[in-house]
Amino acid sequence: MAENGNNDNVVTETKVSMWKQMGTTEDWWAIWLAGLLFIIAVFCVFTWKPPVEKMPEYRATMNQEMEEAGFRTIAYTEAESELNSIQARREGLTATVHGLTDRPKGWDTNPIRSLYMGEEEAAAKRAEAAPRLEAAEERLAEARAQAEAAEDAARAANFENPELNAEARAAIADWRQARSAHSSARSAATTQAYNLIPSLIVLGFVMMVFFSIGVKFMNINLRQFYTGFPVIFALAVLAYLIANQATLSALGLSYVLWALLIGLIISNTVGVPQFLKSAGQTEFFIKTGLVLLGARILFGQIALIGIPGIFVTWVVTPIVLVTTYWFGQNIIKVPSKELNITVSSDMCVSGVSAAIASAAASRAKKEELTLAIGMSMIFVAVMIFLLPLIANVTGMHPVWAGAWLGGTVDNTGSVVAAGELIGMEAMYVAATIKMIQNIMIGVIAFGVAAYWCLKVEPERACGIGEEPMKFTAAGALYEIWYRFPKFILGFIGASIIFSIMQGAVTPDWGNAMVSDGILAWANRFRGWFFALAFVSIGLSINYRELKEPLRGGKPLILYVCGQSFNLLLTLFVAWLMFMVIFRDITDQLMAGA
Amino acid sequence: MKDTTHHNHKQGFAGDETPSPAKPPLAKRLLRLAIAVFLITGFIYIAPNLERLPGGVGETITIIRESGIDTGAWYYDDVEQCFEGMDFIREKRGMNR
Repeated sequence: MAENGNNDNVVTETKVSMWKQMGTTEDWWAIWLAGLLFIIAVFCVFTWKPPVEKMPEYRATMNQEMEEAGFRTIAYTEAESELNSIQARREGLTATVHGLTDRPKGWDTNPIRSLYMGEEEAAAKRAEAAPRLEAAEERLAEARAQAEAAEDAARAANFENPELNAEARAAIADWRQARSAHSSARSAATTQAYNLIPSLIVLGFVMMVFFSIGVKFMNINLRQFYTGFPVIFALAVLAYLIANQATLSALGLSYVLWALLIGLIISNTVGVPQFLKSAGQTEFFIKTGLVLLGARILFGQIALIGIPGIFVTWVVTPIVLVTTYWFGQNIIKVPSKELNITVSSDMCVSGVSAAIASAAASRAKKEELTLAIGMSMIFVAVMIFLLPLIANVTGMHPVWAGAWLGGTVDNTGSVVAAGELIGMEAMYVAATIKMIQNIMIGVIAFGVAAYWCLKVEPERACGIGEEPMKFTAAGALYEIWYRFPKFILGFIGASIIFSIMQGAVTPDWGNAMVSDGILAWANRFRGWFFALAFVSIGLSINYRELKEPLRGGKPLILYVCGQSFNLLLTLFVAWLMFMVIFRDITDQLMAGA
Repeated sequence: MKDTTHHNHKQGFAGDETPSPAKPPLAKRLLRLAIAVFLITGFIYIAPNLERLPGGVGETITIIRESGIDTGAWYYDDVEQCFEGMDFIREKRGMNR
């Protein structure tokens, strides 16, 4: 199939058999390697199983207490705490590997604390925290006595006296707060010395060997890969280290931004040697990370807040996405469709994760992805302050405000931080709405990949001035299948498999074995793979290439217009759903507040 | 020029290298690197002082920092509060029973 009319620059396509693609392309290797990781994780989780048989007992206690009292009693809280402590990631080899994937820790003024703390300093910290622990212990004992007395009084009245119930609820809430303060004081008073450097070296080596399997079959120079990978990994560690500075972390400046910046600085100053370019397998890292991400797209979570939640996320978001893309193509005429869809997805779905998925599905250029993420991070840093301020000044209902934040602020961590500035209910609603919106990434990635195969690629493939190629009915499916980015199959497949797995078991078992077991690994490795990918992207971009998509400020106009529309539409739909039509759900969520 | 490839579309993230112009001398490149490193280090060094910003901004940053929320996390499974939020919603809506 030869499809470019320019005689001097003809691109001739030689079809490669699917079998060959399966063994030589990064799309397939991303699926194989992510699959291998899942298999190892499943093996470890089932071999070193946590005491899941105790969970029904704890859950029964919680249900019984809730049935009797109608609120969280002392026994409920203790059973809940025991239940939540059952996690597969804390057992045997699963715990060892999970510990190995530790990221650099948070720090305030001394960056070395991110990687190393000596025994002397740990002892000093323990001594410093001892009085705090003592005070917290006293406070806890006092709060416990008060909670017990209030609960006993309410229980004696069969939980039928509203006043006694309210007193018990308040005393137990106070005790729970004291427990939390005690737990934090205890971890400070038991500070242990640590040195992450050896485990990071092992992790880097493990990941290098892991990716080298695919690299070997993809005919990339293995020697150069082995030489360059440690450097890229070290830069990824540096990105995490900077991002974990306490104030920068509070501003939402994530490791993704620092990884890009570090790579950009190197490539635009001293330059990038060939061995580093060979090791910077951006697409391979990103696609493997995306297949792992797919496992966290659990469709069973969509219905958590019921119809209003679905409306705010699964109705508003596609409307904003399609409108913004249309606006970009037809009104401001963004020169690149890939840039348009990447910015639109980033802005209206869920920030970085959606940008990565859309960029990979549409095969956007690396500088287009960089631009989308950079803009998103800057706007998010502003929105974290501005949106809660508007909500607080106007006295918005917490559930309405939470739904608004969850539907509009780009990244999940920033959504939660913005919600925290309004109140607990707003924060939890915002977090849950964002999580439901996160699930949409799978559908968006699949839709973008299919649209590009069906519409954009055939148009691009035809010669200048020619009509786009018309698929025959017989050839259409084959063409779509041939052009479809295959890693999306792994991404969607992982989502379906884990959604079914999570749906087939009880939520508690699913949390202990899947979320806090198999997927805990996937989460950690995914973060590292994306850090490697973004360092690689930065290393391969010349800053002049970033100027081109920015020409005329069109991406910025697209982002601002799209986000303004998103803010207004989400505000209206969230009000309509949570304050008018489904007010009962809002009242349920606020009960006892 | 005839290019034989199994993709006829433009290349994605890694494959669209454009020929770069001649590199400046090494000393100049090292100087640029040193300036960039200095600027980033300087920014990180003064970052804690952002919490002194007036108009409630500094105070807000402090509240977020002390809350322990990983504001930079971009996916829900990296944010502990999302799981707490799920529990909160399930409990309020009676989905755990």
